[in-house]
This record gives sequence, structure tokens and C-alpha cells, in this order.
Amino acid sequence: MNLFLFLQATRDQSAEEYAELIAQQQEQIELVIYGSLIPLIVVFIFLFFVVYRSRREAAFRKREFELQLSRSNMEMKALRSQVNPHFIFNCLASIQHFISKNDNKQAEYYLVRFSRLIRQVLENSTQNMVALSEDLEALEMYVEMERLRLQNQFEFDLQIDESINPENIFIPPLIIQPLVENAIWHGIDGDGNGKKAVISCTILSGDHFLECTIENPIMENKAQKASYKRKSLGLVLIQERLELLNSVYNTDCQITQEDVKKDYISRITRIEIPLESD
Amino acid sequence: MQTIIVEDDHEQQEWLENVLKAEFPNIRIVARVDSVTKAVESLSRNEVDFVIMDVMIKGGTSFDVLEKLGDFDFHIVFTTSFEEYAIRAFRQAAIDYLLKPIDREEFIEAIKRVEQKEADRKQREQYEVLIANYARNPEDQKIAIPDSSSILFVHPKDIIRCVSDNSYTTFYFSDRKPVTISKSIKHCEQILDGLGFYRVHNRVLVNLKHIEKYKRGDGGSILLSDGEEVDISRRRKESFMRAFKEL
Repeated sequence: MNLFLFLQATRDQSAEEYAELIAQQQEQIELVIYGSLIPLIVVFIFLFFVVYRSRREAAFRKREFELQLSRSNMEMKALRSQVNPHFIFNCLASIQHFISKNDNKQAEYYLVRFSRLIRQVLENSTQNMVALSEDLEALEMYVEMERLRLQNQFEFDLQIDESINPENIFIPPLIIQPLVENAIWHGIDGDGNGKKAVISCTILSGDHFLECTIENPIMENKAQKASYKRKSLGLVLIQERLELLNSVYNTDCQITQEDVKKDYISRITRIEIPLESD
Repeated sequence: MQTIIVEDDHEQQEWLENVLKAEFPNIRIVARVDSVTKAVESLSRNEVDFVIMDVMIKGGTSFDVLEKLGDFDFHIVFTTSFEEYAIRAFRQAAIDYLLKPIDREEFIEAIKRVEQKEADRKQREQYEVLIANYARNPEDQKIAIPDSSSILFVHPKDIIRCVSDNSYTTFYFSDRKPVTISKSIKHCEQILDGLGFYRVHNRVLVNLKHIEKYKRGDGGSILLSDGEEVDISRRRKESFMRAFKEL
């Protein structure tokens, strides 16, 4: 009995030792396997990182390229929406009118203003952002030309909020001008009932954008037509530009237009313009 | 006043002559010339008080004419249409010019000032600056800074920065006391265009060569060689870095 117990004990012991030995060996094998796996994993992580980075860089570059492209497109659009061919030929026709009337001085005066406006527009349209003061300078020159052409049939009232320093606020060039142009072209009725139209342009500073409101009277029949008709080309161009600007500057600027009935019908165009400041 | 018109466009010659005849009985037009050679010839042969000059003429520029004449003592009214380098050289030399098409009233005003001796005779050095800067000869390039009483001629490399205070701008130099002139910073930026200056802020124009250190930050700031620290506005940071790297 005792012997049996003894044998049993030694067998158990050797079995235990054997199991321990196997476990040790297993551990060593695992160590070798895992040990050799670690550099492999490191290499994999590294490769993954390199690929990921180059992909990200490529995506980043692509985005940058796209932005650049949209910026150059914007320049083109600025140019196109700025120098409205219609306006240019109207100016030339007015000059021709003065020449044929032998009103040389008036023709010269008109021609010089016209060349200055074109000069300013050419300068501004190559830049993505110009000082508000410069943009307004071009706008006022434009308005002067239109007043000359239309024999002062309208008044232009420009108001800028006192909190704005026009030298220190930078906006995309010539985005306000086409809206004023629309206001002038739609706001003046040809029948000349003696009343002077007032076209107003008010500029307020919003939260990270400039809020510009243009108001002009509009003839009743035109207002009705406008509700059926699609938006004018000038407005569509501005809207396209605004969308591009929104994508570049990460903003959500809007343009809206409504006709309000007072003792006459008043068309109010409101635009939010992305801005930069120093 | 004995006057010569240097202009290669014959319609423009006629326009100038008509306005002069109509408005200024005292002006006697001695010659109308259209090329560098003819201008040099008639200017050295005649006693001339006053010259109207277009920049681009046959055979070169009016600046070539002045260079060839060397010494002269007449008033000049310059006209130009769209020559970028000429306009820059005029600004750098602080010499007025008339843009074409010429405004009749402005033209008459300019002649009146010459006639009534109100226009100060330009200094020899101003013409030298004009000619050198138009030729874009880097060693000779200087700019003229007119303050209330005199004209200062400086090398652009000696200007550290320009700081604006509304319609006044103060120039800070490496070798002399600051000078304040009654010109906007925009005007100064145009004068220094192409000479290695950058508008880091709406109010500050700096010479890129005088930057010692760039400090990171929102827009960041730079330390200039005179120890001044100037902030860079956030909106200009990106293009500033580009300009700085190109240096």
C-alpha cells in the first residue's frame, strides 16, 4: 500500500515535471514566433503609415489644386461679371453721341472717366481680395458713368456703417457693382415721370461677413414679370461666385431678393460677402 | 515759352497742340518730333523752356533722350498710357505724369503750374533716379522721398520699414532718422514694388532683407534688424511666407 502510494507520487511528480518542461518549451517557441513577428508587424505598420501618408498628401494636394483652380476661375468670373460688355458698349455709344453732337469737351470728359474705370477694374480683377475702399472707389466711378449716361435720372446713396474701416476690410472685388448695375437698369423707368429714382446701397458689418443691401424702385409690371422670369444673368453669376467663395472661405453667405410694396414697389437685394481683415 | 512736343502718335501731337494753342497764347511750339534721334537733335539745337514727352517713342523711350542730352534745363510734362515700369519709375523718382487718354483739365492745370513757375524744377537727381529705375539697374536704384521741404534720395536696402498713420507714412532707416511724409502706405507700397518689400499688415510695410527672426503665432510676428517686432496679419501670413521663401 505504501509502495503503491510512493509510486503514484513519483509518477505524478515526473508527470508534473514533464508537463512543466513542455510548457517551458512551448513558451520558448511562442517567444521565438512572437519575437520574429514583432519586426514584421513594425514593418507592416510603417508601410501602412507611409502609404496612408502619401495618400493623404495626394488628397491634400488634389484639394489644394482644386482650390487653386477655383481661385483662378474666380478671377475669370470677377473679370467677366465686372466688365459687362453691355455697359462698355453703352459707354462707347454715349461717347459717339457727344462726338456727333460736336460736344467735344463732354465726349473727352466721358472718355477719360471711362478709361479710368476700365483701368481700375483691370487692376482689381487680378486680385482675389481688395480693400473695401478700393472696391467702392471703382463702384463710385461706375455710378458716375451711369449718371452721366442717363443724364442724372437717379440719385445714388451709399451708406457705410461707422464701425467699418474701409481701408482695413478686404472683400472679393466687384461683387457689389453688378448688383448696383442691376438696380440702375431695372430701377429707372424710361417714361421719365419727372421723379428721380433713388438707388441706395447700405453696408453693415455682420458676423465674419459684410452685409450689403441694395434697394431700388421698380415698375409694377416689371415686378410681376420678375416673379415668373428666372433670375437675371448678373444675379446668377454673382450666385455662382458666392458659392465658390463659400467653398474657399468655408462660409455660408447668401444672396436674397424680394420685392416690397410701399407707395411704389421696392426691390431689395441683400448679399452677405465673405471678408478678411488685418 | 519755347516748347517742344515729343510724341510718336500724330493724332495725340495734334490734340496737345490744339489744347496749347487754345489755352496758352504764351506758348510757342518750336517743334513736334516723334523719335529719339529727332528729339535729341531738336532739343540740343534749340533754346527750350518746356517739353511735353510721351514715354514710348520711335527708336526707344524719352528716358533715352534725357540720358543722351545729359545736361538740360527745361520743364518736362510726361505722358504715358500703360507702361508698368515707366509708371513705377515715375513714382520712385517722385515725378508726376499724365495718363492717356489725358484729362483736358488736368493737362491745363499741369501746364499752368509750369507757366506760373509754381512747379518746382525737378532736381537733376530725380531724373537720374527715373532713368536708372526704368532701366532696372539694381546698383543705381534709389527712391525719392519728398517731405515738406526737400527730397531725400535713399537706397531701398537702407529702408527697414514703413508704418502708416492714416494719410501719413513714416519711413524707418538703418542709417538715419525716421522721416514722415504725407502719402498713404498704399502709395509707398507702389513705390517699393518689386524691391523686396512686403506689406505684412495693413499698416506696416517691411523690407524682407531686414527680417532677423520669425516667431510663430496666430499670424506670427517678425523681428526686424532695428529690434522692432512687427505682427503679421493672419490673412497675409500665407503669402508672406511665400514671399519670404522666394528671397
